[in-house]
Amino acid sequence: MPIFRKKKKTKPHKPKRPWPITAVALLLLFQGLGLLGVGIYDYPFNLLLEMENVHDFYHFLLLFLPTAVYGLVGLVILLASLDTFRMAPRSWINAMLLQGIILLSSLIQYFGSRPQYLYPIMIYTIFVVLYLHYSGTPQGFRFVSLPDPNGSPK
Amino acid sequence: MKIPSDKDLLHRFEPVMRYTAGEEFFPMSVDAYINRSSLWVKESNQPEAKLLIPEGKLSTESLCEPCNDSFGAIRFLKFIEPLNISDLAAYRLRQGIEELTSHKDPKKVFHPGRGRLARVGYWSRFIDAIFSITLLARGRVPGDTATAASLTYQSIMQENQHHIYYGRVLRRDGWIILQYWFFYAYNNWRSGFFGVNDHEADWEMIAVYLYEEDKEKIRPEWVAYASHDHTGDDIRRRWDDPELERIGEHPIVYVGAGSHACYFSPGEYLTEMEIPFLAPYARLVDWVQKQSKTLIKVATGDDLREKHRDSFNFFRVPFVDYARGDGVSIGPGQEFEWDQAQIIEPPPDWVLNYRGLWGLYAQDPLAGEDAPAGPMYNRDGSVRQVWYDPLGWVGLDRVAPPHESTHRARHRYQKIKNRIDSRLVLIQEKSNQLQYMDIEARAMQAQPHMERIHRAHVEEMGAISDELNQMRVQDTKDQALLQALERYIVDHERGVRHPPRAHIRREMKPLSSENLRISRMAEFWSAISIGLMMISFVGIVLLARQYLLAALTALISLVIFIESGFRKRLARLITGVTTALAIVTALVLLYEFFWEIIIICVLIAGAYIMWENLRELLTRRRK
Repeated sequence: MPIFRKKKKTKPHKPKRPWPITAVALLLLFQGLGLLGVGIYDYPFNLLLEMENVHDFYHFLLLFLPTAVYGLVGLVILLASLDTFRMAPRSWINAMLLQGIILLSSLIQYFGSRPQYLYPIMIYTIFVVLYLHYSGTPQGFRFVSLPDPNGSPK
Repeated sequence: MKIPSDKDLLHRFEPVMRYTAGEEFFPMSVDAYINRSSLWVKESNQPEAKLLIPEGKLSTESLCEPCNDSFGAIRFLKFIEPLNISDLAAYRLRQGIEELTSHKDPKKVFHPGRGRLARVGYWSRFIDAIFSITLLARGRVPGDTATAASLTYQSIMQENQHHIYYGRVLRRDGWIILQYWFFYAYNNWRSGFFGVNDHEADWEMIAVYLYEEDKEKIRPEWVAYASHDHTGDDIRRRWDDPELERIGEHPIVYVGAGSHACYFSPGEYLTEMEIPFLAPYARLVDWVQKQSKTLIKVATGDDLREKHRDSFNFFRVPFVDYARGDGVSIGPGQEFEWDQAQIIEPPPDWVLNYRGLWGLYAQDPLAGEDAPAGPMYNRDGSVRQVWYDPLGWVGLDRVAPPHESTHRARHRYQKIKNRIDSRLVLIQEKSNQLQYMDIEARAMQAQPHMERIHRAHVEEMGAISDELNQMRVQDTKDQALLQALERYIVDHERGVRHPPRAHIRREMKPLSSENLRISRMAEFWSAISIGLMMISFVGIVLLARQYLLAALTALISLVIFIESGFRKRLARLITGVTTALAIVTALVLLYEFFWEIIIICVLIAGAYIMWENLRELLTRRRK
């Protein structure tokens, strides 16, 4: 009989992730992948085709900034999605901020080059904003950020 | 027992006035002030004012001698001649030496709190900057007048130190109203305490509302404090309201530094000043704020009217009124006591017959720097509401004194009961009539030649039926009212009282400690942001005019972002902007794909209806 019994390592009990948070994380994941794809595909493509039409810095900004933003934001959204999966604090407001940036970029693009993929991005982003506002979603996030009165995770 | 005289009543409830450290002017006698003043008149067609009675020759009698001034003429007193440069320099030097060599009484030193600008939003600061710039162009009281006024006031007090109030006792609608009027030689709110205005002479007042329980017992019920131009229910407190501080039967008044406005609680008050030409916009903002809060309440059930009752209107200029109560205290049992009260009811000549201003007429189009008129009159010579309608001024014209409430409630109860009884008789009569008419109508149905008469008969029945219905509705309402009155009478007889603060809609509250804990960084930002914005605007115009629109948008966005960060409203800003962008994008999509969206909506609606009907059908079959 062993004198010293190996102490069993107990894993800290992780709080159960509410469904709205999982849904937001998944929505962000798909959005991030999509935008990253758009950024990778569109940026060099535009650069080659449209370079002749660019006369000044303002034109350059109007044409290329949104596409570049898509790529970058796509990357950030993927990170935000991971954060949301991990139920990090402030993930709701981060998601909202990113949606704002995408919407602003799409509106700028709407008044500029107006590419084909613009409308699906707009529809998807509006859907995410609506879902973030949907009554159960902010509550789910609030539930996570509230401290447990007993000190133990729920 | 002896019926108390007016003076006794005034003496019994006279207030305790607590001033802010640094206050220089206290309630004084008008005689002493008038003796040091001169009387002037400014005719509308003359560029300069004309001296009527020089300093030293003016008295309360000569002040109200009949005059033959033309239309538009304004009479005014002039208390102070501004100091000349050498006097001012000597005064400042003396003050500096005094501060260096001796320990100054802390009650005489004012310590400004956190800057008022850091407590309000960007737009309010912008309006404030414009207001300050206009002060240079408007007529105003010269800056050193406050110093001269302070010196003259000190010399008056050295000759004869006194603290006086003027009292009025009125009996109206069962109430006994005590008005305490305070006269100050000077209002140095702007020059002394970063406020709105400076002017010579200042009249302030408070009122105590009493009722006669029986011939021997007079009880206080309400207290009202005048602060700036506020009127109505919000400025009065019930005697048992915990906010009202008292020492025995003496209410405590916290007086605004320089402004002399009266408050119930000590603290720093953010007050809004309305600029006349911006008044319509301010009212529009008020309306929009009210409507949006109602809309949010309907949509989400979240009552923002309760949460953000003190939301700020950015078309009004914000100022802080310091009413800390940490300075001199005047009143019964305090370091200074009141002298014998001066009664001004019935009004003496100097109150009744002098309609001019009590200090310098600075010709300020916004009127803030012009001296006020006397206790009875407004600046335009019309009678003040507080003078002719002291009950309506605080919304007490619709409130019965407590000793009469039960009697009046019983009277009302009986009247409504009688109305119900007589209506019940009428209802019974009409109901019978309707039943007889119905029998007649049935009888007519079997007679084809009576078709026209039958139709008219049925119409008449309909009208009577409607009338009967209305009477029954009214009866239900009266029954409910009767029940409520019954409960009210029982409660009143048992001594149960309604909540003391139920009448207050928008109360003046001192700034919360959270609001006062603004970081140094936020204060620094508030101080530089307006100037920085202006300089940046000029920089953009000079250096990058071709990108003016984009650069301005970026600049404004940056300012809003920083401002929200300092005010801890970043999350609200992000949510708001994103939602607005989503709405714009949705409108863009609607514009681009209008028919497609309509078709999709119709398809979805059709599928939904089909699904609902099929589900109902299947459920029924299963059962």
